[in-house]
Amino acid sequence: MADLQQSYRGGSVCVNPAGLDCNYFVDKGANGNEVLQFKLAFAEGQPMAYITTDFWANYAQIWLEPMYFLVTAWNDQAPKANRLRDANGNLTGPIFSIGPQSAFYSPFWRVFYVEVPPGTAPTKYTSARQLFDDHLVMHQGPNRFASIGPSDLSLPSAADIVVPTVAPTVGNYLKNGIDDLAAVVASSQSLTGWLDGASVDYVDFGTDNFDVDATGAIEDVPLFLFKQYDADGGLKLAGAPNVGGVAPLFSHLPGRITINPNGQPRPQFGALWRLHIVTLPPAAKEFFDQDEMLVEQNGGDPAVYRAKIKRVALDGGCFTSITATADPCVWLDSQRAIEDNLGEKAIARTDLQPACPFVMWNGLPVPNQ
Amino acid sequence: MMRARGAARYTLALGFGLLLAPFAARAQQPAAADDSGVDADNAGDGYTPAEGSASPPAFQVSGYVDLGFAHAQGDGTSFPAGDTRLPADYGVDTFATAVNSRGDVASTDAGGRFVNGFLPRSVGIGGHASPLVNVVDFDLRYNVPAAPLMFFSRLQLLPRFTGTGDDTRPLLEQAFARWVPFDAQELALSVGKFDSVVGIEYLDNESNIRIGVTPSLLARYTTGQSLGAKAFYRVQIPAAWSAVSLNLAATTSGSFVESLQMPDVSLTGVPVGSGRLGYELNLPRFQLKLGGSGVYGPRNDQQDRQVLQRVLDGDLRIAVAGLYLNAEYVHVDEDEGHTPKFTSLGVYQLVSAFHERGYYAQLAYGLAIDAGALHKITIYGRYERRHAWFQGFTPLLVDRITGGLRVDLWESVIVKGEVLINRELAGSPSVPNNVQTLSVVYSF
Repeated sequence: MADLQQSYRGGSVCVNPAGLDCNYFVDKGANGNEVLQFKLAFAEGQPMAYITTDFWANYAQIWLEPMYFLVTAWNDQAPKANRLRDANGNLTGPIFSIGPQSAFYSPFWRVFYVEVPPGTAPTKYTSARQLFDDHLVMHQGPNRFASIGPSDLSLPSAADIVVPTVAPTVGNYLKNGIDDLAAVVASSQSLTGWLDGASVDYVDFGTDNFDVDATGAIEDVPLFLFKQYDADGGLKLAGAPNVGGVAPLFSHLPGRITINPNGQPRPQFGALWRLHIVTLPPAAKEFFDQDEMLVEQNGGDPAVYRAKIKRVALDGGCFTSITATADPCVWLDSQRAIEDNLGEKAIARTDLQPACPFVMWNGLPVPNQ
Repeated sequence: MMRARGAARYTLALGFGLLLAPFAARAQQPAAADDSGVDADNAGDGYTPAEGSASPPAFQVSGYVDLGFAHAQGDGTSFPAGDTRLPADYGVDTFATAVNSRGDVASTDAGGRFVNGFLPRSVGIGGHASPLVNVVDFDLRYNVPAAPLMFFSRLQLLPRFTGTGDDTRPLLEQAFARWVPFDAQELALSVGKFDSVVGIEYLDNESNIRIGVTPSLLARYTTGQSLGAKAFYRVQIPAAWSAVSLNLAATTSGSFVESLQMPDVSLTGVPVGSGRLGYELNLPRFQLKLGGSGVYGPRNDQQDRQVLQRVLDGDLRIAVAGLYLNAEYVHVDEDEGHTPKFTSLGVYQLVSAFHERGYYAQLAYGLAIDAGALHKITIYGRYERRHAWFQGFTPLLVDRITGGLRVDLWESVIVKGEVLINRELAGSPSVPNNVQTLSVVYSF
């Protein structure tokens, strides 16, 4: 995260990958603070959103590392039930095994619950080394996404998300309307933990939101970034929201998604993406507000077509033909739609891998768990 | 002076028993160490066979066979069960379970977990006791008639099993030409692939020379061979019973062993400089040798010439009353790189900054015995401690206690038995990784 922040601070000489704007990952928030950016996108034909915390270029693999939560007693049915607390009853922060200064650092962690005696001072264990030195008993837990970052870089608040230039009419994409925005914001949390004896700030996106292979390497899925030739023949960013894939390219496999008891979805993929540049044909066009207004005039359902705003259609000429009963548009809002309609030649794999955990999926907040 | 020493060397080279002479000189007759002639003074060409006399045969073949039997505790590695830190070889000492003089370990099987090239060679026996053919060594030497030139090659056959299949390989460990330009000066210039010039442990690389079986935990940083040129110069100060020597080298890879830095090509195009300044005091009943060494240059496990390795080394040897003490301190710093990592074991993904501080001390006592086949019995012990860390990773502190017995039989057979007690003092869970190893060396 610190690198993304530094790139933003670099202004016009920023080093963002893929030619992305200097404020693509970090920008000023509603309160003037620096904020990680909420990004609206689409996947499986539905709106989704994510926040980019980390970015790798030219790494063959990204690895899972251990993080440690201290517990005063082990309960395999409720591992977090006995988390160590301080004198005020606050939970002690987790201990990270590796920091951002290492090239092997990643925000992808395997949780270990470490047994410490009841009454252990909350600051007794502040480094992974101490845990090993004391040969404490450890129990493996779930995988978790948590990105260590600077204390002066914030997660987006509701006010940051509804800024028109960031995510206009975001309520259009939430199935339960703008009332769900608070839950979207709560999908990620700013917390503190320990690294090598020092307190560190991190942003937490909860458990089971990525896949790992047997060697500990994180499995990425494609994230499609649209480009299009301009009138001068230059290939430029199209500016439309990205489209998230759900499985390896052309695999046609479904994405793994769990639904919690509250009916909230949790994709078990997508926290690590691999950018794929998609070259749009000249006729492809983003669906804008004014196009939606025209559709409404032609009888299109506002609830449906407001949620189509910012999607890309294979041929923008279709917009004028949408009526109450017909939608001739081919919407490029899913991996399958891109694969089937543009084909292999239009999709270029890159060595750029952003970590972008979901905060919204299928128009619903992704719960932090 | 050099020639005089050379004459003694030739005598020693004629029989294997005399290959034991360096050890004998250390343990029994330290004042005569120079006469042993096989680099006990860091003369720079490693343990090459002794030089010729007035009329040596131009071409000589010698060598040795090292048969072993070893057992390591646990699964033969230092990887703790349940430790999920990655890379797996960054959080433990993968070199701890050494079973032979090459430093090969019982196993490097990380259980499928990702590793990043901080690994030794393995004999693939895991936690099972097994006989081994550690090394079959052939030394070929050609002395150019009527010229101060010598060509030397050391070819080794290393039968190995990796756990997934046969991994037997030939190794051209050394191949160099040496020129001694002046009869009256102790100056030798070498080009080719030769031993390190750093510290003193490289002097014990070969199992027919080494007092014990296994190298120290620090040998990985100082005992590798490399390709390039070197110069050795020594000046004797008879009035003070002393000598001062300087050994300088410019090579492809510095002094790391080949499993960490490949010596056979330069990946950066820039040589790695290394050198040792030594002082020796050779009294009749007391011998003291001190040295300071260093390495500076680009890491040869990556391709950026700006990414450096730095090694500092201090060494001490004392021989008195049949006791021989040698000790060494090794300090290593390596920069972080930005290209893939290349070693003799493969290509790995990242070049991490690395730091190490460590030392060892070994004490040996040899008792000469004239009882038929039994020529000598030696007991020895070594303590070593290593503190190392990769950038951003939990520092690892380990130590090792080594004890052993060596028996010299006839003039060509050595039987050595050794126990290694490895301990993880900090930064890693304790694992059962002690080793018992036996080595029978026959020289020809």
